[in-house]
Amino acid sequence: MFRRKWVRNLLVVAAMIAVFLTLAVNTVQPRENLTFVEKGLRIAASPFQYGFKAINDSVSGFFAYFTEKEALQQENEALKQQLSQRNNELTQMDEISMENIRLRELLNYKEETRGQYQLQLAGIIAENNTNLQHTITLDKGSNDGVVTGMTVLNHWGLIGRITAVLPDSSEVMLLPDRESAIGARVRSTREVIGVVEGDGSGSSSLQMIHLPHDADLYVGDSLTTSGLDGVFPGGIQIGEVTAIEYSANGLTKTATVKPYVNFSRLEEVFVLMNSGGGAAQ
Amino acid sequence: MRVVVLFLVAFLGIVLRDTVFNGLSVAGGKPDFVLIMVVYFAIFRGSVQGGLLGAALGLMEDLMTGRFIGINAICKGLIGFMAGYSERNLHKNNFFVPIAAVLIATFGNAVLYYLFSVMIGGNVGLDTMLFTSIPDAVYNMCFSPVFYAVFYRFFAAEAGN
Repeated sequence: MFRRKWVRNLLVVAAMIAVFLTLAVNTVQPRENLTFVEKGLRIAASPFQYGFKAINDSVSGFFAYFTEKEALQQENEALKQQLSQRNNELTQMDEISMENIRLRELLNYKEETRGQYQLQLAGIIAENNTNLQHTITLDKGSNDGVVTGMTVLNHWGLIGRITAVLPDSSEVMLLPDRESAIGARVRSTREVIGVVEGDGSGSSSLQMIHLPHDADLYVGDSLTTSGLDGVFPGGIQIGEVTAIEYSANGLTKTATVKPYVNFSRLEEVFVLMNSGGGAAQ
Repeated sequence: MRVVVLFLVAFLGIVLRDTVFNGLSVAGGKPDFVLIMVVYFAIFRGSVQGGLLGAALGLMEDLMTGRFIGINAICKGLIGFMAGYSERNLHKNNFFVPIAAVLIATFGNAVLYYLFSVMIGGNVGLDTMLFTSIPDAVYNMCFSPVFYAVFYRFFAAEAGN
């Protein structure tokens, strides 16, 4: 009984396979037309397909939001890094370009003063600008022949003088320092006027005090070192007179001098090797 | 009536697979609702009815989506027929039985599809067929508890369980 049933089932299965396999073989080639059953089923399916497609699109859009957002965030990060890198490179190139301009100006100055001055280029490695003192530290010291008292300048004009020397560095007292004093003369008239000193305000402006009321000095006059103070050689540019004030009793006057050197933009300077202690040696 | 409902659900299952689950396809895998239904129907109704429903639903699948008609009918029919033989031997209350049955049926369906495709001149590789059926199997196993619960509710009493 069981065996008969099993054989019957097997025959049914074999018949099913034979029928459907024949059908499959006969439909394996591309057909020009679908059967009416196929058409009917597919037509019936199409409204559902459209409906489900709309759901599918919204679901895909929902997931795409997250996947695209993640991709955009990654791209954004990469671009930020790239931008940062490019900015760094640009800054470096800018720095090099500016250094190139400064060094070219210094070189020109050195060429112009070749017979007059023996100049040693030095870089600034530290600055100490407060109300009490205006100093910078140079990367040249006694090992480079720098000695106390030497004049420091650049193509703009006088900067200061060496006040302390170490083997590989030296300290420069800048013109605006309250202890600084320079004998000055008017460049155009060659008249020796007096002493230019720091005004102690903490700014880089200079002043000339206790000038006789009839001293031949006017706003716009250009001042140079007189060379009579025994500290700085003569003829180095100091600055320009920007204001003159008379004292209350009218006997003296005070001049405000704007130095030619921009002390906030110093990066390389010259040490005048044949000045101060260097000249004495 | 229940058979009509089964056909309607299978019809929607085929449309769903080719629309919504296209967008939710994981590693190319999509759920085969027809296969799940055939397996569970066969488990509760035996090999003859399982085989007949499998062949009928497979044929509907071929007619709706297939280029050549008959392959899914043979595969699903055979899967239903074989799944039906386990009718008396399975512990139908065990949670893992329906999941394992669907897993085996998915790979069995892939092998049968390969065999009959080759017979009619198809050139699908068996390894490709099996490899792509892994995500299908995972998807099918995810849906199987839901389908099994429904089939258990409507067919278990009649089957005497």
